[in-house]
Amino acid sequence: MNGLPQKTLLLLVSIGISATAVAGDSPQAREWLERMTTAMSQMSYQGTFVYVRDDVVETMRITHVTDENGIHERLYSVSGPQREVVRNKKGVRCVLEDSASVVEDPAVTSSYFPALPLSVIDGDANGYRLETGGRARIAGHIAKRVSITPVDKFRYGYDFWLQEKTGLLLKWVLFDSNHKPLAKLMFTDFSLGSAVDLSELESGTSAGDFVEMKTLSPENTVVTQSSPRWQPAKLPPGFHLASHSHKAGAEGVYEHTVYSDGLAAVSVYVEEEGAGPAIKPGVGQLGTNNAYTRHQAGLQITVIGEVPAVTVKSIANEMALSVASR
Amino acid sequence: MSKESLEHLSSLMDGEHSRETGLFLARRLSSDEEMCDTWERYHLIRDCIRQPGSKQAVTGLCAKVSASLDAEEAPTISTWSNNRWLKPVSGLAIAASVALMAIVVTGPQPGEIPATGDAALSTVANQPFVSPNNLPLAPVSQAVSYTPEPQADSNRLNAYLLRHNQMARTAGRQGFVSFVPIVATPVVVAAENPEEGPETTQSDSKLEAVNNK
Repeated sequence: MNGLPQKTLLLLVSIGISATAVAGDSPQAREWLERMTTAMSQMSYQGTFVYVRDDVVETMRITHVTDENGIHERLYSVSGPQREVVRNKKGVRCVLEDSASVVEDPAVTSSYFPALPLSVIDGDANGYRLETGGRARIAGHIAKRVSITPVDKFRYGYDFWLQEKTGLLLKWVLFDSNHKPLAKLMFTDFSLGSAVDLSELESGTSAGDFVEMKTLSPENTVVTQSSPRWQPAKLPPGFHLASHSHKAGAEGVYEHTVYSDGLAAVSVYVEEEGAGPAIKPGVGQLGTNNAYTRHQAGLQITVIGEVPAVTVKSIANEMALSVASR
Repeated sequence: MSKESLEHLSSLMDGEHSRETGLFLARRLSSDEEMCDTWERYHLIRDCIRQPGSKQAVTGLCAKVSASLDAEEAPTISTWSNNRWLKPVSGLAIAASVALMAIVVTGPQPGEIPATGDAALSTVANQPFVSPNNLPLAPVSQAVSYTPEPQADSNRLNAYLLRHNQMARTAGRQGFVSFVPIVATPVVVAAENPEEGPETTQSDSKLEAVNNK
């Protein structure tokens, strides 16, 4: 046997081994992701982490407590202008010192649609490849890596480093379909359970210090199982309707739909122009979230989510009044 | 220079000072050459750490700030001219603002390719004050670059994102991570022609530029 066939054979064997490893890793990766989802919502934890995006490093602190009254969570910036998000059973309150504003959103029922199981996201046909591998020590804890790689340009990928003991997230990396990192988050200190200092849940800001924004989402929105009036003629591969809500009553137009591939989620807001502050048409950004707004027939259509710009744009451009609603 | 001053400079670089303290330090930078040299050296060190191989130096800050101050101190006729006691205060505020703007305008300009190689070293003294890094004193620079319209956009998008994060139920929910972009990054709204919407966003381009360095 000459050198070339031997190399070819070795290559084929190694491909076979790595394919088996990835395929074999998937159930384990799903199991880790389920552990993470449960731990992140049901455990009490507190810590400081650094967030890196666009070459800017910021330090933040999170306190998350779960008790009989549900979730109490406060996330705030340690350096720079004071910015914080407080989340509890009443809803979400966001205070932004640099724009001297407070934005609040009351708690809402998320959906009548069942949450998609993790099995739907795994595989080339479903948008992602899952695998586990690698261990590291992060903030004094041993962490296991779970990697979710997108198979096309319509979604981002993630590397999660999860505490082996609990499944809590210690490091997070967001990357695009070319595996180019877009943002990173890593804890530098971390405490659990009774070690959590509950006093940090108290907001460091008073709404009276700022120009309070009115709740921008309209009141009296109802979650429904019915089909949306406005929906995209086609969606990027793997995305399905995950939630639908609209304003009760016949007056005005407000429709909010969420489409998800099981991991990424995209919201579509359809509102009458003039019902709230107008958004300039085109691509906008909110950190790692992309948004795309267009105006059509007196309506403002905005698509937003932590997905590439091409995804929000393609969904926005496909929006049309459903046949049944015409 | 005292240890305390060095610590203040270090904190200024890390964006840990309040705006008022930042303005005060900017004023000191304009008059204290040693402090200014240290500030430039800190930047050079940080740039080298963040971008090994970079030979782009941060030079000429003192001269720029002094020039700004000189320009500000030239007598002008205004309705404030009779209020003599206001002069030093307004002069300080304006000069300090100019100085801070000089400090915070640190990101690479669009299309700018950082100089590399020995040629960069030979021309370093002629280069303007440009650092490849963004300083975390961003709010000050935003004040001069943001318009009310993007603010309205950003508040609306914030509201959309808050509702989105509440409604989106996906299998791999990462809890608080969804809210980090709201806390971390002052909103950048880059409205573009919808007919020519880009395949990659402004940020993608920026990151590409950073990764290609």
